[in-house]
Amino acid sequence: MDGKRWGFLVFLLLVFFGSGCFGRPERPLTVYTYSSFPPTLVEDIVRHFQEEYEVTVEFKSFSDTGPLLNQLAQEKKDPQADVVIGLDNNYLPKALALGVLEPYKPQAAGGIRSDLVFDPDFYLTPFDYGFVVFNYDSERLAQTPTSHRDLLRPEYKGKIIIENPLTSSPGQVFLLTTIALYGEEGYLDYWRALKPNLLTITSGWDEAYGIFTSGEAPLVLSYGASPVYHLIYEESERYKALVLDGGAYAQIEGVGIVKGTPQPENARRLVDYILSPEFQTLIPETQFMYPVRADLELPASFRVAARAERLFNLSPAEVDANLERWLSAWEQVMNE
Amino acid sequence: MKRRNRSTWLGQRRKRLAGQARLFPLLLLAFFFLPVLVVLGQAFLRDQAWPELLAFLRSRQFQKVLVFSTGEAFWSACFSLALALPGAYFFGRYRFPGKRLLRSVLVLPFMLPGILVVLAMVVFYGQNGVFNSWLAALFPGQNRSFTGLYGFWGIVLTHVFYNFAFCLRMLGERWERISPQLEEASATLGAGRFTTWWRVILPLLAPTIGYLGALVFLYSFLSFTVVLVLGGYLYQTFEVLIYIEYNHKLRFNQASMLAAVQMIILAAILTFQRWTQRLSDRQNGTVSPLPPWQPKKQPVGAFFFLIYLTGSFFFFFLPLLFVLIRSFKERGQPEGLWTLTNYQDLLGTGFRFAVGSDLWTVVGTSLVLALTVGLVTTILAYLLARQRRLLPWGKLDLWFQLPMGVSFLTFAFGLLRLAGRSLPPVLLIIWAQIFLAFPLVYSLLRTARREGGEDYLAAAQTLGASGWELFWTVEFPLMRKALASAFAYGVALSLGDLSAVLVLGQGKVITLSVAVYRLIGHYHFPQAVALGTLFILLAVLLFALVEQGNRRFWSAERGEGSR
Repeated sequence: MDGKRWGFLVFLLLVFFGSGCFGRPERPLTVYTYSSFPPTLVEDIVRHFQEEYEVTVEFKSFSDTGPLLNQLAQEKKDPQADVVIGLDNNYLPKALALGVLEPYKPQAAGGIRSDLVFDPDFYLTPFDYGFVVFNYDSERLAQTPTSHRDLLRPEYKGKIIIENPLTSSPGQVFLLTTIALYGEEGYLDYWRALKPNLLTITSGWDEAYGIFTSGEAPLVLSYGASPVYHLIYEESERYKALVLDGGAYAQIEGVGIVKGTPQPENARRLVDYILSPEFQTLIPETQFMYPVRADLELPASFRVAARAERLFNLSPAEVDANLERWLSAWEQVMNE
Repeated sequence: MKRRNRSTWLGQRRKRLAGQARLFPLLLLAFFFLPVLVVLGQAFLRDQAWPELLAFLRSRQFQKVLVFSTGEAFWSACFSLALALPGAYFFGRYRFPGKRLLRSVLVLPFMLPGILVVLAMVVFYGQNGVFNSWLAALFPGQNRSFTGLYGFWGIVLTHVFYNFAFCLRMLGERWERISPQLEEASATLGAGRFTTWWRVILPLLAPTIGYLGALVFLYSFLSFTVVLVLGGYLYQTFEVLIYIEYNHKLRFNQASMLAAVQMIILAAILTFQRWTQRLSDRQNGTVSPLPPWQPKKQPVGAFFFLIYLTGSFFFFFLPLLFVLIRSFKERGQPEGLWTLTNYQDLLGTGFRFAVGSDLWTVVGTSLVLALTVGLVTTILAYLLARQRRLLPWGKLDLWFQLPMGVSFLTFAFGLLRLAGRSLPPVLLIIWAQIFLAFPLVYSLLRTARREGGEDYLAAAQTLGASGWELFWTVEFPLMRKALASAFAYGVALSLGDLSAVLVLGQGKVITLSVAVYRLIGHYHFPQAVALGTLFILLAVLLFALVEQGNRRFWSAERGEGSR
């Protein structure tokens, strides 16, 4: 190769770093979400907007909620997305602090179960929720616990798998559950007592649930609707969800409009559509979560899902103000 | 007069060549390190950066993570090498049936989705695992069981599981290049077999052992999923800390700072490795055909080889086998009936529903991506290795090993900043995967190119061969084995990669590992394992084809059988 060819290569390099700076054609309505958001729901939204408004919708997914929020923060001055789906109640304060959302109270706001509305200003509108609870293997567990205190009994030694609160959202919700139940004074003692009963603490839900269904331990921290899957796809009721102490902590997922979107009208239409009965009925058997509308009938398969009338949820502001401290105290106790 | 002109022309040409020689590696380095620099720049060009760094270095957490990572990585490297050495001997010294297939299989652990490895370990070595049920059957009533999986030694065990096959293959290939004549000469001079091994063979293997040791050390040092799943809350590596800062605390500057600390530690380890490599100088082995393995003539050797094979089969294949069996069982339960429904499901709507694309598109995407990455990485690495063939392993080579020590999250984050808007996701993924694969592919080719056949090339050149002719008739046949190996590892690393596709793909690129991950996210565990099985078969087929094509080419070219 001679110098000219290298020169050409360098030129190419400049072109492709530079190309981002020049004008682009008008972009489609862009939605950011996390990578496990069900493809069926994506397709439904795309189809609906094409048919109803002749608007093209494009989804971009991120490996996790953290990177998603970070991307929004990076693009604050020049927003590349219009709507964001999947920021949950625990991420609200961070999103507000970053100032990346625009409030919009959807027409159907009144139809949402009132204790689920975690943001009274509707920067984020709840669209589905699920409970983070323990599931058990009915063929391997003789006696089922009925309270969180029961889990501390010696008979469960080495029989519980949970996810790490530092790396996984169900793990984090369980930590918050213990704080909601035993307060700042008591939760660390609870964990000290729980420690010997834990087989392992995994990085994410995938590993925990995989180890659980391999028959390695009879109790796992999962979701309230996990048994629905086994009922639908395997016609099995072997795995069951537990509601301990008569309640559960809910993970509430929200949809929000990105601040500074050039297409506010379409963005609002999307939020309204996500709350419409048409879309909400799709949620249970695709997301394995509950729809937020109180007026909908659940599919028959949901009879095996955990149903908690009482929510243990702490306020998002309280969580945000203390979470880091709670986590590091937890870490210290677990390392004792 | 004419002559002088010619010499100045040569001088100019040499100068120009030297200029290019500098430009090419620099360009490559820019591609690799620009994204990293973007992130590090942001992290350190702040007021509070240095005090924060000092505070972290003084903290107990830092010491703990450092002590644990170093210890765990050290033992993983030691055991992987110790286990691989006897096998490498048989690989390096004999021909035996099934050798080529085995060679292909040995690349597998590199591309297995992490979750499959974890499940394999749990299903086999776990509390209620196969191993424990065998112990219970063998020693009834004695209550013997293996409970070490969840802890320090479980982590080491899993890392050895990951790395030992790869050490075996690489060491075996190096051993093949040590001429048996050396051993004969040593024996003629009166040295015993052990003395010969200790004084002649081991010093020749030492650089490879050193390199592989460093590699396994690095991979284990950077380990993420394994440490988190089996270590519970007790153990953390730097990569785990970085992940938590990035993804959950959203403190990017702190994460980048941690990444920088990690890079410096790993650079120090690589420098140390380079230093040990220098202690043993370059050794040139002529390649000669291997004798077939004849069990009857070597009963003791045969006995040990069989023991070794059984042992590694037990350790390496059985865990994998038991997890794969689940894909042929109803609902993936070990006690279920045999069935193929989990495979049929992969073609059904359920797959599309969970994954967002159909099976053939996913397989096609993965193959195209992996072949592209394998090819481009091999070509780039070979060009560089060729350019530097006469030089000893130097500082620049070290820079090309450093991507192994760079936290992948840091790189991906920087890459998104740098080119996230101007490049389509597929190109970003290819870029990142080349970054991931380059160190290994390059070092393979660098060693082979340096050790192999400069004399032949010079001779061929003297005889008038040049350009493409020289490459195809002399250089390529000499390098074919190393090239095939390098290509196979490039492909394997791309196939196995999940993070680059998840972080950079924006959900638009769906590869086999992403499909496995999405199936699991939708509770389709048996189907995920079924897909994993197909994935493994596909890879073995691909690697076998590479080996086969290779052999054909060799036979046609030389008119002789392979060794």
